[in-house]
Amino acid sequence: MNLIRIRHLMIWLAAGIVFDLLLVEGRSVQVQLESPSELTGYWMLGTIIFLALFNLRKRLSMLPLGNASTWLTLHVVIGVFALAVFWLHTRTIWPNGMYEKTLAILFYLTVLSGIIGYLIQRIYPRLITQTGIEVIFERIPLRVSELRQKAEALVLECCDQTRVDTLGRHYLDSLQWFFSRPRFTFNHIVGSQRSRQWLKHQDEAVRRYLNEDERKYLDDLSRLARQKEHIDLHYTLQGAMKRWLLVHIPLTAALLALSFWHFLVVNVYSL
Amino acid sequence: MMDRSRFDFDRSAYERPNNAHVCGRGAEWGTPCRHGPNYDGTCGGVAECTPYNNRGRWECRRAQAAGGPCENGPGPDGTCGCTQPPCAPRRTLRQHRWRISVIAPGLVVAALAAFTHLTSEADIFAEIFRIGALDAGELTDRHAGFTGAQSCKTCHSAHGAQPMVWLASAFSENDMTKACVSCHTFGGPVSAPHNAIFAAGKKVRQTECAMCHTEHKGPDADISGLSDEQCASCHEKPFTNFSIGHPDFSKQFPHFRRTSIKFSHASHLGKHFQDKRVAKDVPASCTTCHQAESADRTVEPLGFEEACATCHADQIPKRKLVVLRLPEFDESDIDREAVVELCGPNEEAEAEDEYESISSDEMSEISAYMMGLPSDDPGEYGGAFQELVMGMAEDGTTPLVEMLKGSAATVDLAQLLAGLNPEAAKRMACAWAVNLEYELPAEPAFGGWYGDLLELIYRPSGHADPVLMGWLNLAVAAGGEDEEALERAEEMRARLLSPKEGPGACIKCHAVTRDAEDGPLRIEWRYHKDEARSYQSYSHWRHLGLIDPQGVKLADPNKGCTTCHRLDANADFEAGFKDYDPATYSSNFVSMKKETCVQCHAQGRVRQDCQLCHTYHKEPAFTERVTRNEN
Repeated sequence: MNLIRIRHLMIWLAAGIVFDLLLVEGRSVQVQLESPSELTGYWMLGTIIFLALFNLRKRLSMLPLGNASTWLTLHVVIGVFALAVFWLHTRTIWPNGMYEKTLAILFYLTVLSGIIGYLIQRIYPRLITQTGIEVIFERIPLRVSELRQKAEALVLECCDQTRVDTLGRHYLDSLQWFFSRPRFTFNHIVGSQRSRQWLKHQDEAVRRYLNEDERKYLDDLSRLARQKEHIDLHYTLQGAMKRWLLVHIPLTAALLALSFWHFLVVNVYSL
Repeated sequence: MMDRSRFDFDRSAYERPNNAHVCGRGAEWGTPCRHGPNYDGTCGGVAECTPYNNRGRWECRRAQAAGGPCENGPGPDGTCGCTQPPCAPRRTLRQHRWRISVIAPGLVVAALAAFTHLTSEADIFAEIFRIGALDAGELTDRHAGFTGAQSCKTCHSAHGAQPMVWLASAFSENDMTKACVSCHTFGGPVSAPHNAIFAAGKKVRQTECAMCHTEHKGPDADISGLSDEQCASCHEKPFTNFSIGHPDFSKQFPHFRRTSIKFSHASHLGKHFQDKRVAKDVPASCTTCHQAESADRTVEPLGFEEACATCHADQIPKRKLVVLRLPEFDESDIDREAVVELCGPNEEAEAEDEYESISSDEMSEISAYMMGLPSDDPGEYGGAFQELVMGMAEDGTTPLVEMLKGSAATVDLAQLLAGLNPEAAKRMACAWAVNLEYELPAEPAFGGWYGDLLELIYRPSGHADPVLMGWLNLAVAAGGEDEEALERAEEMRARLLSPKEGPGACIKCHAVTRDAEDGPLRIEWRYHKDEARSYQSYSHWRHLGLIDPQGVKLADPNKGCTTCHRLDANADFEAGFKDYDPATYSSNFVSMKKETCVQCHAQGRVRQDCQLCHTYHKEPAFTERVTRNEN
């Protein structure tokens, strides 16, 4: 077991111990006729604030605040811890009050988006690596454009050299759509091979009508299409790895806002 | 593998991931320009370079990564020769994320502001919005009906206050208990544990209602539950549970006070019910006399008519009360002419000069007490009593009323003399005035007032006769200002409460009690429901359901009520009623032991938590405000 795994294990262990202590302390407070909700409430608020600090840590990468891997593990472990503390705090899965229900919805959605994001971060990089190429997400439009230009140049050259426009018409009818922008987004998200089958089908559909010279151009065009397919996969998966934060972070911000409102209302009305 | 040389400075544009915009052409999957958007979000790719004026000659400065200097070169005015129409740069994902992350909490704040602000009653949506922003959950059914127009303010004083006051209240402690006691009352200090009054100097922790009762958990929530651990956290001698460690019941439990009715279960079951003459009237079971249907903490007995009358009803009318008795006089001061004038001539009247008192009795103890005279000295009472007789001959009952009014006791005339006919009183007085016995026209069949020879008598018609109860109440309450008066009061009390004769028969069953050491005596006419143990609760009904009382025979020692209530034949039950102290009591049932309960209430069997038998509060009740439902 390497050092990182040991470190992660220690974090999980520490979180478990802290939760157990909180459980015991909460029970003790309840037995003493004090308010365990007050205790767990402050823990809950502190936990949410700490989780939100993860985003700040990414922005302050110049500061020596520990490595990103440890922070991510802390974020995941404390996220799970927060879910347990939430149930300990509310003593129910679904609270009663209107704004408390809203708070619960926001919390659950934040946790759910976090879990989905974590799974995306764990699964997609392996799928991306399997393509054998590396592409910077921001340069994908340029790569798509370059591939499209190469494909069009190839088709033009084919028409010019062979004096037959079969491949040209085929390109216009089907492959132009494919090269115009990333395609088969949903299929890439769910790990489907539909784009590959589609390309194969396009190749087979036209190959029988091509002569020997045209087939060489078709081979080159299919290579470009496969590269494009890989780029599409990169675009889709890297996009998903970035876009889930479009949900997670705004939900966190809304959750924080409503948590402070809850904190205020509880202090005004109850404590 | 990636061709890393693609990123060499002369082959690749520099990426600026922190920029807020990306090239519009790239965003539409065209070829993005190499410059990318300007910092302000405008297109930065109209010209491919910014030509440089080198000693009057414009030189192309297109980057190597873009192909180096162009063929056309700059125009004569220094403009780039390779231009294209501007694009519309798009915001980056990062920028979108930032904007949404600001908008989301902004929406929350806006919604909260709107939902808390729109609370005016004029706004038909106000209630919905207010609930949306501040509603912490539904109240229990018990409380939901008492908030009314004041709504949250009924309990939360800060609600509806000015914003700054509202906000400031977050930093001060809420006194929820104050709101609670505007509706709830207790038999002791609100914030003292168990509402009990503790000895001075004893340190006890003050309590608040919200320590145990928290609201907004829904209509059916149990907001009064306490765990055994919570109870044990305060008690000095903690124990595991009822079956393990709970203190034994006290020696007398649960018979701490004598009953209001002197009914000896031991003598009835062991002696009277064994008499063959009453065999058909013997109750079949405990529930023949005790009301199982309404059983709760106590199983009240049925009334006299249902439970006792069969054997005892005919004894009551036999017990007559003598209110007035014509006593012996040494001489007669009565004016015969005046008597004739008031009553008419009486042929049987003896001659005045041959006077010899027809009575040789003393005054009744009642009249002696009422008139404040000794009952055995004709010289003392003669004149006054003859005056009373003449008064009655003239005005019927009026002199009696005046006599009662003038007595030392507080009396209820309407009750004491209810049904006494003035005409009958007058006729009796007329006979007495001329030294004759009053002859009753016919024997009274149904009870009530009547004069008979030398006595004014009241005969009760049955149980709970109000006149008799009034005179007995007078007897126990009678007092006096001097020793003689007290002595006469005591004599009257002894006469009336004597179980051997007269109305004292009532006292054979009804206990005479003095609640406080120096307090007045009172007769316990009604069933005494024991409410002194306010921290304990017990439901007979639930237990009766288990032992099927309808099928239980009293003689069966192993079933039914006798499971817990076992007769103690040796107990001196009667001794408990010899004085007026209700605490002096020896029940004719054996005291209960914890072990009896533990047979069922033990680990793994029936519930045995504290709240099953104990209530926290002392005498919980409501203020008048609740009954008026004021908000």
